[in-house]
Amino acid sequence: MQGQPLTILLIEDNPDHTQLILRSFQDHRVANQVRCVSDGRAALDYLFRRGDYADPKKSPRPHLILLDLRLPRVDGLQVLREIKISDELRRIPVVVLTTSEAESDVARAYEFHANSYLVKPMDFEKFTQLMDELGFYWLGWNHQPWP
Amino acid sequence: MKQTQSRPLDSVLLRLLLLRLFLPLLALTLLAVGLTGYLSERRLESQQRQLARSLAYRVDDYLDQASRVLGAVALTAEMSTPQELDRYMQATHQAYGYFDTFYRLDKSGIVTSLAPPDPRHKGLDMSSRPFFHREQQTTEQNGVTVSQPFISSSTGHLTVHMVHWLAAGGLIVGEFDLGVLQGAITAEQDRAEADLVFITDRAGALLAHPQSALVAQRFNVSHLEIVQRGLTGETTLRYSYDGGWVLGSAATVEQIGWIVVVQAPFSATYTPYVGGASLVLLLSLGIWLALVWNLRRQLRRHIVQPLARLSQGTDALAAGDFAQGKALVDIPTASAEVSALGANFYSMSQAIQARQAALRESEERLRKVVQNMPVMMDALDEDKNIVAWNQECERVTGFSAQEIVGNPQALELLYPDQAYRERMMAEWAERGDDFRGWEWEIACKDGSVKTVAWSNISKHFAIPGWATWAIGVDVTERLRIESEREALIEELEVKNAEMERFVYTVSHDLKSPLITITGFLGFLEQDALAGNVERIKTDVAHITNAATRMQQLLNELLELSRIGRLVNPPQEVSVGELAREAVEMVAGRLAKRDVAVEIAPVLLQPDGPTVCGDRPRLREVLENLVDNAVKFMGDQPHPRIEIGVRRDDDETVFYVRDNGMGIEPRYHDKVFGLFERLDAKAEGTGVGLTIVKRVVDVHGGRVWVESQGDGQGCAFCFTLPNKSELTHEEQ
Repeated sequence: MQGQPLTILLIEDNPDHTQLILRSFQDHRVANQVRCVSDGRAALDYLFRRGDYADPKKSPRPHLILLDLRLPRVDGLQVLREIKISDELRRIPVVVLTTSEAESDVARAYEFHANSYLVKPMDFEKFTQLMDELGFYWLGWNHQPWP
Repeated sequence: MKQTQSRPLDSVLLRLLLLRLFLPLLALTLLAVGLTGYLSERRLESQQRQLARSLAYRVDDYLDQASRVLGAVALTAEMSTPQELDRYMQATHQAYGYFDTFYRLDKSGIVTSLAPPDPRHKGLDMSSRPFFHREQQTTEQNGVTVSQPFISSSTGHLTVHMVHWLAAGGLIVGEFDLGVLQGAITAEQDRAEADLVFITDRAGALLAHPQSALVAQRFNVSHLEIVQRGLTGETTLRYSYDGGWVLGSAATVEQIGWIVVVQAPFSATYTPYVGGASLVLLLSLGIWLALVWNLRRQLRRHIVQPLARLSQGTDALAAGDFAQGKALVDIPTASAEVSALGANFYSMSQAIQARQAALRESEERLRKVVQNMPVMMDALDEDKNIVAWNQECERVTGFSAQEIVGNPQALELLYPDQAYRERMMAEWAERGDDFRGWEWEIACKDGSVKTVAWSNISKHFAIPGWATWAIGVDVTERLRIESEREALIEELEVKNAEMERFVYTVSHDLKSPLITITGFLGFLEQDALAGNVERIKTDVAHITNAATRMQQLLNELLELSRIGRLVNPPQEVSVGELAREAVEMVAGRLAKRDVAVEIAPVLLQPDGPTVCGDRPRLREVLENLVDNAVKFMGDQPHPRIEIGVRRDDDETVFYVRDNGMGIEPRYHDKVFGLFERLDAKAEGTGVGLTIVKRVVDVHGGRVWVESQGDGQGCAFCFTLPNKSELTHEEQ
């Protein structure tokens, strides 16, 4: 475990789910900085540092992106595609975290080079375990693309 | 064609009989006549020669008798006295009439006695007479010499002296009258008609001739060939005499050498035979002609006329008139061959009739099939004229065979578009008569256009007289159904995709609150155990919120499923009225946000625009649009909504326009998606616009968004069919 905090970008339209995820992280002391955006356009603005996020201080490069697929304005898969075609951003691991178990969504996500595809479990225990292991794996074991 | 050159059988036979039979017959007849003539001529010759010979014999007999009488007188003169001699001479003269007179000359030539007694002559010296000189005598018979003939001065008849020399000297002379010969030939000539009989002496001088004047002249006929030949012996010959041909026979009188000639005109010898032959010829010709005529009649009756009837009958048969067949059997003829021929023709005609009937039946069957099969069949000749057009062609196109078959404009009629027709013809020429299911658009009589799939394999199955033939199937209905089916399939695919999206959306959107609920229930348990009241409150609030949202989603899904079908009968509704009602329904929210709503006056006029449809649903459309506009007013200080109508091209477009947040063009389609919300923080579930689109779709209208983007406001536009459009569609 590194000492310095790592940044997670959470792209989630459902505020209740955002709360759930954040609280899971807190409970398991994933001492990281989580940035939240609620729609696809805001996510792209953040990543490409446009509009409200033009100031790099407001939009530090995330070490991990948690991406919901069903987003207002710009669809999650569209966001994924734009990340992965960008020279600047494609190294960032993108973990799809969604309610959809549809095969077409899984297939398309990997087609657009998603690094992982996770379905939000309905069971509370599993949900918190997933969040715990997610943080542990991606932020602990996983080597980051940059320091 | 041959009939004009050939002649009837009887005429042919007649010519044959005339040429081949009559001429030989004629030749044979002439030969027979000639032969008969020749034979009769031989017989005539023989008769004539016989006559001549018998006359010669008679002359000879006369002379012989006379010389015997004279010999008897001489014997008497030798042995008797002159008185006795006188008496004997008188008696002999009276008994035998050969001599005109007798007399005895003594050695000096003095008449010593004579009979009949004539005193003037007694003692007359006759020594100067030629007969007294013995060496001058020409002929000697029984010791008697005969002198040259002379004309007697006492009788005027041709006479000869017959002299018998006495042993005692002296001589007995008898004057023999040749007139007896004249009498003989005259009698003979009378007996054998037309015969000329004459006698000459050895010098050719006439001794007896029918014309006694010639005899008196001592006419010499030695120039005649018959006389010359007669002098050498008995002969018969033909020669010209007095301007005509004659047959003559000559016979020599023995001892004295005179010639008897019997002559008959040649014509006379032939006449009876020629007449007879001509009669025979005519008779045979007549019989022959009668036979020929009869033969011809029989031929006509038994062969020619039956053959002609047979010919008529077979002509009738050839023309298909089998009713005449029976008559062939009853042709009256004696000829077994002809009647057999007739019977054979009849049985042949019956066989043909039976076969034709079978053929016709079979042809009729095929024709019926081809004519009435539920498949179009047509055929074209070399000049692209349609020559066959069956019932199905008539049914499909409405054009009767009468209008099409033989009509040189038929193709123009069926394919009126010249360019299309020429293109088809060119392609046809390229493909040849070997294709299947080639679809052509054919113009029907009622003006409609049908698609016919033609199959043509006439390249492999050529039919004489047809340049090409094809069968066609009207595939118009099939194509229509196919295209309908395709449209239906497409629609179903669209619906199916929509459904998949729907199910996906619903499952995702329903799962979300469930995850929230289960998540916060877990935290609630932890918080309850920890006694963290503050946390418990927020946990419960999250749970309640999610449950409410879920209920709302389910309600709206129910609503959405209900509007998938129209429940109320379509009616004509004023759009202005609907707008007013819709505004009333959301009046509370409008007032809360202080939104000004304006309904275009034209909509509210009594004759304002109307639409046709399910009234409550149509009101829902306007209600949702107004509600949506209020929802996305943003931070507009003077919120305003306008409900209006405009004319775009040919359609009436209704719109609900606001001066709110506006929507970027790239989201224009997305806004109508189920549970789509452009703003995650916006209230509602994202079903409203989906309902709008659904209702408009179901009514057959369109709905779309017009907006320049953020902060520019937006207008939701839609079209709906009015009554006239609906009724038109129903038609």
